Amino acid sequence: MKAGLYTAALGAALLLAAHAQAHVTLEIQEASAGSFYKATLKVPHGCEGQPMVKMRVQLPDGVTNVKPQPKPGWKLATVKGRLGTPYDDGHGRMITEGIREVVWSNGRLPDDQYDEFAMQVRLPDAPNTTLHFLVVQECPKGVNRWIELPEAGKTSRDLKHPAPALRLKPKS
Amino acid sequence: MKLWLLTALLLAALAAAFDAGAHAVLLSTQPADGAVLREPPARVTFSFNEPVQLIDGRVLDGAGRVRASGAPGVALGLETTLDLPAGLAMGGYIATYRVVSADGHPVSGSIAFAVGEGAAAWQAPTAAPAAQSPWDSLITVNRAIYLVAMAAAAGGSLYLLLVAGNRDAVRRSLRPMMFHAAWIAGACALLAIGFQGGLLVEADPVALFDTTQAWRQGLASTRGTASCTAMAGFLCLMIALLLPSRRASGVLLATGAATVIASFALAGHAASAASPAAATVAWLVHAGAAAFWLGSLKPLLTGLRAAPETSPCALRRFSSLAVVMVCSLLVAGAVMAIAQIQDPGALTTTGYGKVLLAKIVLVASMLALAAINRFCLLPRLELKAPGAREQLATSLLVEIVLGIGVLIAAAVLSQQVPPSRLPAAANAGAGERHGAEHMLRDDKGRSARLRIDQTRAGEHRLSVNLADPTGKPLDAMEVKAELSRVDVEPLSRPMKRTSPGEYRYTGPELALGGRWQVRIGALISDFEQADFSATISIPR
Repeated sequence: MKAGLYTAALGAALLLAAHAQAHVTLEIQEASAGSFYKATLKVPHGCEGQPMVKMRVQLPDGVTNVKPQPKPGWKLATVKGRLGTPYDDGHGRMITEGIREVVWSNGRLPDDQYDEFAMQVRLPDAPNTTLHFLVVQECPKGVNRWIELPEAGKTSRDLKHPAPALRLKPKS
Repeated sequence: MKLWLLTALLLAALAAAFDAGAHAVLLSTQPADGAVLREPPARVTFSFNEPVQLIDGRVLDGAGRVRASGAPGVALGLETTLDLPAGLAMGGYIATYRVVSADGHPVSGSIAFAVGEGAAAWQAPTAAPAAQSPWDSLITVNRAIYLVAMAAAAGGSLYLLLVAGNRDAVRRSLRPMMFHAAWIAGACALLAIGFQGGLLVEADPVALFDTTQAWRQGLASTRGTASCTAMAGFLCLMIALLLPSRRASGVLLATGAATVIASFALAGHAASAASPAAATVAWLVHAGAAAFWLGSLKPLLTGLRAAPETSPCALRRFSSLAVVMVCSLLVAGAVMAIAQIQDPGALTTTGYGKVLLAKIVLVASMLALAAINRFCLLPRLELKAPGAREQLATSLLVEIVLGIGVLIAAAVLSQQVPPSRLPAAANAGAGERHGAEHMLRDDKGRSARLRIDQTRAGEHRLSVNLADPTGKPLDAMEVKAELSRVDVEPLSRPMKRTSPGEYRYTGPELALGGRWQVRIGALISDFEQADFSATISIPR
């Protein structure tokens, strides 16, 4: 019984360390507000035994100048839409529409393999806030959604499928 | 040595699987979730897509009793099995698991299955066993002894503090009786843990001291917590009685008595009542007042015989305090009785009701005697009328006997099923019972009106009405209900759309009764999920 308890405790301790291993996360989770940032989404698996065939990423509000990185073996597409926060493009024009979603499709990431999906973006000038990139992994017969947002004042630690988060630091 | 070996093995296995970085997923179970089987299965098997290690697992029957339990294992395997005892009765069962995968990520969940024929299998009452378990008698007898000893110890402490002012002479004279009462009560509390565990795992009474399974189960139950609290209280009392200082012993006496009284609210019918706050308060008041009243009788009797000069003063003081105590006791008792009985007819038809009637009759007799003491015999004693002392002593003695009878009745009641908890089959023909409604909101202003109704015996319907911040019905792509309990890992069930914004799920799982956590997950769009949580109480 003691051995069992010990093993359970060890397992629990390890889970705290290795918890994020199974989640879709950003490689760099902190960046300066207002800077250009390469968002690399680390995808450690497909869904529940199946390969992932489509990767959809919804961009957080305020992110602009979105340029996704193409991947061999995947078809890249973007979805434009109304921006939540229109911004000044520096030449006196207000930009109200931009890329809201990036989709890599027609590819194949087996469940036991790892891949990265990247894009370059310009971060909003909003220091000390947290942005969330919402990710939906689609498989032939299933979906994995990483869209859970923490409640106000709480962190993503307790969520089962947290959205990849990026913390904005003050401009350095 | 063995521990290091375990660690090494675990780390090696983890290192080997480290590259996977994927968490384990339940692929299938045997029996399948929602299956109805003709023959009771020999085991429940959970199959995963990668090696896992069991942390915790159990199978509950329709009455919430644990029928199988998985001990944490070392072996990493693709399958985890819970062996079931032979001869499982017809009815619904919930099998719950908690495993950790190679990357350390915990995975947990539950499935439900039934033994029987067709949809009726879920409604078969597994609530009460056909034969009375031998544990019931053991538990009742143990509890009766416990209550009497508790009244003498904790009640005696209250007498010492409130009536006798913890005077050294009184404390010394009561010390032997109270000390013995305290350790006897503590021993009964300890045995109660094992007995409750034995009842839960249906162990063989003879083997109670051979294995630790019954004790572990008992310790994990509410009875375990209550007993440990009570034992701590009795320890305080025993120490208090040995201390020479009046102030120090007074503090410990108060602490010990309070702890013992508090333990009543931690287990039993109060802990699982529909409105726990009210039930807890009622229980504490009832237990405290009863302990004081019953526990004071012996000290008063002893005082009457041994210290006749101070006795009338003590009696008078007790009498004035007792008026307040008895009123609270009766009010609290009435509140609890109404909550447990609900229908006055049940007083004469159910076993619980009959025992409660007997208890009420005994209490009424005690009250009559107490009234005679206060208004007739005590004044005569104070006037030093001849023979008054013997009459009062006899009256107190009869009160003590009646009091023991009341405590025995209370012990019997603790093992009976209150009418409010009987399976709905007992109220067959009553039609749908309308349950509680909960209004939930998420932080985006969306709302969900959650309603639980009992459609028939062994089946409940969960209804959710979703609305956007303006109050308009909100449709979602997909709505799931996640049901969990303190001993059941989340059961995920899809909800069907029945009208704009309204989603329903009908199923047998909630028939288990008790306090459930319900989490409604509504997928508003591909990238947006609304979550609502509520804690609900289902009377059995």
